[in-house]
Amino acid sequence: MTAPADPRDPTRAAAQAADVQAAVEASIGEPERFALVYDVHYRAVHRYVAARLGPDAAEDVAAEVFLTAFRDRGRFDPRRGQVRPWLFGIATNLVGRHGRTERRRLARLRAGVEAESGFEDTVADKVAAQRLRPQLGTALGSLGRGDRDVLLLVAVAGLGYAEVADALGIPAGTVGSRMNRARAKVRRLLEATDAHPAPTTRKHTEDPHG
Amino acid sequence: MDELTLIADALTGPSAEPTPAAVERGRAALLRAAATAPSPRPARVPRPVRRPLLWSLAGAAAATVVAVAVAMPGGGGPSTRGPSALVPGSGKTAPAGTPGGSALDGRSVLLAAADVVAHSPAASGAYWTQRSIDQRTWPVTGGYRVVARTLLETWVSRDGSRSWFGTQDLGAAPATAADLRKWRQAGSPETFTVPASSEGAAMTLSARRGALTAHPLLPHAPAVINFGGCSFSPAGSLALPAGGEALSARLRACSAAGEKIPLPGASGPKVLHPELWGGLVDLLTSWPVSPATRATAYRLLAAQAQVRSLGPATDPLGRAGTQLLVAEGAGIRLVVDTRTGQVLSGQKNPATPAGQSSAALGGAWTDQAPPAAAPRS
Repeated sequence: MTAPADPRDPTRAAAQAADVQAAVEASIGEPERFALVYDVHYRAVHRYVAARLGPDAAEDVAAEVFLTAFRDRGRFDPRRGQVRPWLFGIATNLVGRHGRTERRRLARLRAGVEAESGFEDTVADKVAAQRLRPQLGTALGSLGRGDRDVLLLVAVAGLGYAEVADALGIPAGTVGSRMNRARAKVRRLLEATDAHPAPTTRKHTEDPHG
Repeated sequence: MDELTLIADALTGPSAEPTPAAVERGRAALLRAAATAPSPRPARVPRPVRRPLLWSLAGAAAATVVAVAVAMPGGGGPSTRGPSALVPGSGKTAPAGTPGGSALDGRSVLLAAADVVAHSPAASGAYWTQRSIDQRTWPVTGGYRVVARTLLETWVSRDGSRSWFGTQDLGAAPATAADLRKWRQAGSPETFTVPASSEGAAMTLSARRGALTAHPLLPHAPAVINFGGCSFSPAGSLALPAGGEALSARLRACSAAGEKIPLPGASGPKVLHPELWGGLVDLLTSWPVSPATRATAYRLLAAQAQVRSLGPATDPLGRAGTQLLVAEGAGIRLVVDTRTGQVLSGQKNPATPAGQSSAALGGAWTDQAPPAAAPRS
């Protein structure tokens, strides 16, 4: 199986992108060539779908992304963008069809039941971020779907603004304005966590028994 | 750390990575499709994927419309809005709503609940369950709005090694009296159509109650109770101290550990700082603790926080109790059953403009295993 190229090696990454694009075009006549698309992109697509719908739904939906892309491979047009944004556009479309699962995922984040503790050997930042899941669930749930799509394609899938525009079929300027709105809202809501409670409740420094 | 990194880190832990078996299954499915593909079909729209199991509506029972407590803001000091269930000073309680009880201020309700619970037997069971209700208002075809409610439930084994998460649709109902009239004019349909919008594709809501379905959470996922920098299993929560100073010291230590958690923001380092009263509210609402610890938590909360009684109320399940407003800025609302000293429900966040809100429904021990997960197809 072909592993994704290390993005820190731009030459190899570009060569692999070209290989993948060639595989999509060749798969019209030789369907099994499409396996390269899967091998290079499956993990990233799975991760993105898991972030949006939760780990339980991710396997089925991620597999569906590649089946959909395979069935649609005749429509892939390299002039309209590369394979990666094309796949994430399909993934985002399928996530949109699972609106209830996504709302459920956000509810679970808010309820704090999707705790994650597999980070023993990794950095403290990740553990810290995990603990903010309830606040993040609230913040993401307050965004409109279009804003959430853009924010998570950038933050989780790692797409650039131009790639997001290709993935969603919207102008790059719209990507920028959605992104600004979404970031501002998330930042405000996460900061609000620290802002309350009101001053009247700051009595905890006095010992009740003292 | 900026908020984009934070979002990625928060949403994609180890559980977001596919298992090797999942990678193989997906690849095999793709190769099967490739082996049987005659030629690409042009211009196909992606077909809808099957509904996830959580939303199975099998076994629907009659819809139950439950009155939701409407908290009344404003007004302070002792409630004069009606009889309280508590008979002050007796250490015992009268049934909720019994006339003749005198109104109590919030602090007195907490202290009376502490007295009741201190003399209660310790409950036990194989699983600790926590329930909460999410509700959301949706505009539907026909020009009115409905409130859809979903019950969320977690089960955790006593040692915290296994956990489950389940959901149940409680049914949708017209949001207001005006919506009810329009619904009747429309022939009182039992299903509602939410048109497609920026929120997502069109969907159908049912007025009927759905079945409760549950599935196991990943083995490393449980961590049933999180406060500040601490996580407890049910057994760990039961072992919390009952002494006032020891309990507040423990919760403050958790709170201090939580301060190491950075928040994003341009204006200098920010910290997440759960207040002690926040931990007390969480403990009383949803942690499995001994009666003595619970009584102590009530007394600490009475000493720590500004608490106002809003008088008799029902929780989102229609259970009667006394509603308390804790810490006015944050506006936490608790409904306490003064007969048993249990918190029936707690709501931390006010409803969003979209009419979305969430209320915790307390926790309980049970020996009944979670309903079996529907098989994955």
